[in-house]
Amino acid sequence: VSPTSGPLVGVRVLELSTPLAAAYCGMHLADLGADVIRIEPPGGSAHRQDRALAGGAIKLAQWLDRGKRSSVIDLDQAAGRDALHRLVPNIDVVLTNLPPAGAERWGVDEAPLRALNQRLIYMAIGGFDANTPLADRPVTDGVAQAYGGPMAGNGKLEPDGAPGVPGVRAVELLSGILAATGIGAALVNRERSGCGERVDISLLRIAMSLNYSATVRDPISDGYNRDQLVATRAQIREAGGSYTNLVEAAGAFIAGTFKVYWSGYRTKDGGLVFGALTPNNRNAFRKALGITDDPLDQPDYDPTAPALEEFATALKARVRAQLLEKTRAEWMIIFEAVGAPAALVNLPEDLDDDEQAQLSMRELVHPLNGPQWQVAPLVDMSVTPTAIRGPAPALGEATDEMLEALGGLSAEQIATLRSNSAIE
Amino acid sequence: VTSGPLAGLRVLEFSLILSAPYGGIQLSDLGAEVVKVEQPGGDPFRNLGAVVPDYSKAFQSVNRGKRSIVIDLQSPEGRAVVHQMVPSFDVVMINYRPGVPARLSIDYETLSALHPRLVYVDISGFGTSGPMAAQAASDMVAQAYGGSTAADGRLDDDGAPVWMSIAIADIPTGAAAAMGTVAALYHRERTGEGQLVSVSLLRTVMSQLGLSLMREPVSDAIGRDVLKAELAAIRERGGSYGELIAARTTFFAAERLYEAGYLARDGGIVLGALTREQRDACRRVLEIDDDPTDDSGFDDAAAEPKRQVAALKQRLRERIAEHSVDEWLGRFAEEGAPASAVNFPEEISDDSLGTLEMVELISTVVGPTRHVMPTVHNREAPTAIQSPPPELGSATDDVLREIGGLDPDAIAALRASGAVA
Repeated sequence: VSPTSGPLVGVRVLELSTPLAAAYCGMHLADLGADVIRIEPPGGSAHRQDRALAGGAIKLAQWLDRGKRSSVIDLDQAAGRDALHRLVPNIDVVLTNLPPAGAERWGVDEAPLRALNQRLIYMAIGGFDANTPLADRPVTDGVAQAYGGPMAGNGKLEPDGAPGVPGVRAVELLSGILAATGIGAALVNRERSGCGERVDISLLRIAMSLNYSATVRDPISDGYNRDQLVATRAQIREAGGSYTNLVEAAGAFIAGTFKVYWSGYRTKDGGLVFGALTPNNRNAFRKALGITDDPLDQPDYDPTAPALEEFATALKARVRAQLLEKTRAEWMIIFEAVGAPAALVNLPEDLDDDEQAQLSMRELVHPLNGPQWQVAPLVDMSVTPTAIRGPAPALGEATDEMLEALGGLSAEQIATLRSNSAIE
Repeated sequence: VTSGPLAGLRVLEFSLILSAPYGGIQLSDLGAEVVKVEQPGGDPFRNLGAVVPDYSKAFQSVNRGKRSIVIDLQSPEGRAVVHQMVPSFDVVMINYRPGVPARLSIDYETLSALHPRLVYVDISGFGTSGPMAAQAASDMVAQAYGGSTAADGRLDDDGAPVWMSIAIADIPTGAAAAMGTVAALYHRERTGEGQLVSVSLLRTVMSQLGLSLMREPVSDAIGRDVLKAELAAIRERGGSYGELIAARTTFFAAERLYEAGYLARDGGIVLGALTREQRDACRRVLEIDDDPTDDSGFDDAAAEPKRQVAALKQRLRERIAEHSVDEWLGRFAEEGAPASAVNFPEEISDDSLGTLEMVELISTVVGPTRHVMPTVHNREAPTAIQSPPPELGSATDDVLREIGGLDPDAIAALRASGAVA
């Protein structure tokens, strides 16, 4: 893999990662043209062996590591740490989500690397705030979603009433995109100032950022509804109420316009959603459905008035019954004609046969298991095209090449490291 | 004077609702001067669930740190002002619906002709080509179409699909736009070239589902293809949406043993294991020593393993119900297993750790507010929230004077004609 296009051509990244955020960040950097070199422990990093993380080990590693190179260095050995340090003067970015204590033990915390390269950009993705005693707690997507609020905000419940884990590992994935953003900004600044940088991201903060409005505190707005919700939940807890009760307390604060026009429905043959956030879009749905008596968007509408609450509930029942009268395709023609933002609900696997979605898939060939199709880079660019640079690397395929070209090690030195199992 | 890595750079944002505004706050926090152009009446997000008119919490959350200018892009004078100012900007970020930018003469071709070094970042619903390219989208639409609604798999009391209320289309697309912006700015620093950067809500949703959407014939033969056959059989016999979702949930049940929510004696608790090491730690805490799901050769698509997984899930539920949340959290922490209690988004701002991630901003409209700090923390060129959320058009005159170079008479004339407000 030797990228020749992309805005980050010529940028060298060392990735020391454990699932998921740093590896997803590295994937974007590779798609953007950077030379991303994974440093893996002997035997390979966690996601190579991981069969249980959706779809088996082969796919997980081949997805996250596409377009990267792999080097195996045993950082438990001093000789391995020395070998890694030889590379650092020729590296632009170190990207890691190892726990701080582990990074220090393996000699890949910022201090020793900074001493070798003042221009280095050191990107650390952490869990909780690095300045608290919890910095070394293992924080993953599930923990951040639970602790930071998105999971309860989503309000999914297991059949027994337990908290439902969201179907997308949204915090780790967003953290990966924002880490790439932080790295790109630091590279811009380094072009202008010559300075290196230390960039930090914490999964907790990213989770809270995903809550957007719900976590903002504004005394005037909060006095009107958020404070009542918090008080209601306090009463539920006091009375020994369940997680389900706590989740359902939010229902009373959802406006009727949302209940009806920002909602999923069943049709004759499957699921469909309405996605109207503005009065104009809601009017389009009203027109399509022949709704002429809906006062919910009138300027003097009071969302807490019981009569209107009842109206919204009745209207929802009407719309449910109406939607069952036609197929999804029939409804989509009707909604598209008036510009009402509706959409079919696809299962991920349905997209294999969807013309629009397939424009976002790319074919590549892996030397081990042949042709495969992956989702295209997140960003398209007109002058410096992004691309999937190649398939995922075999474990340790670039170890020798990298130590020689970037570390300046001789063939003998490399052979010695190998015979001591400091590299693979 | 701002301090971030993008200090000195200017962004002109034509934005509504959530995606582009979220991208814009990233660039603002990184030090850029972000000018948000609003049409007369303002961004509709200003009044989404608003208690204070034009100043909803939704709007505040993704517009702090920006300057607001109102320009009527329907008027020739308004468009002329934009064209006059564009060369003073480094970036344009826009999420207007397809076709609208060209109609308003603020499309890439028009603006890059005025300013070749411009980085123009376009956010669309479905991308720039294909049968859906002209369609507008929202987080709801993109999640439904892109598969995340079904992947989350919630059903309402009627068996209809429920939106995953984590805005994984809009918010990460805004982040992707910011990522593309800084990458394009880096290229521009090195070569002087501007360019068009495109992201879409659909692509972003698909990227996050990358593992589910990846097709790889060798492992698919024993995994994904089996699921697809099950789904096809359900459809064949006229099965409901709920049945499709149930089949999918069952198919992936083995993955959701140690990355799942449970009910402890006194409330919800979540295990967040992502690696074998972390799952082993969970098993030690829960004293599970006969779980085959991580054994090589375990085939979770077969019937007997599915029964084993279901039985194991039930055992985990019963086991976790024996102790309180705090007792379990202590034990999981000792073993290095990721676990957490469940907090609500309305309350995390007052949690001992959550409050460390918040910063106070004094708003001219509502007084002291608190916001989540910048998502990225840079030590040498520190990121920061530059200012509270702007009132509608509060920077119109200043921006026209400072960046547009207009004198007070020219500004007054524009105001009188309604081209700016």
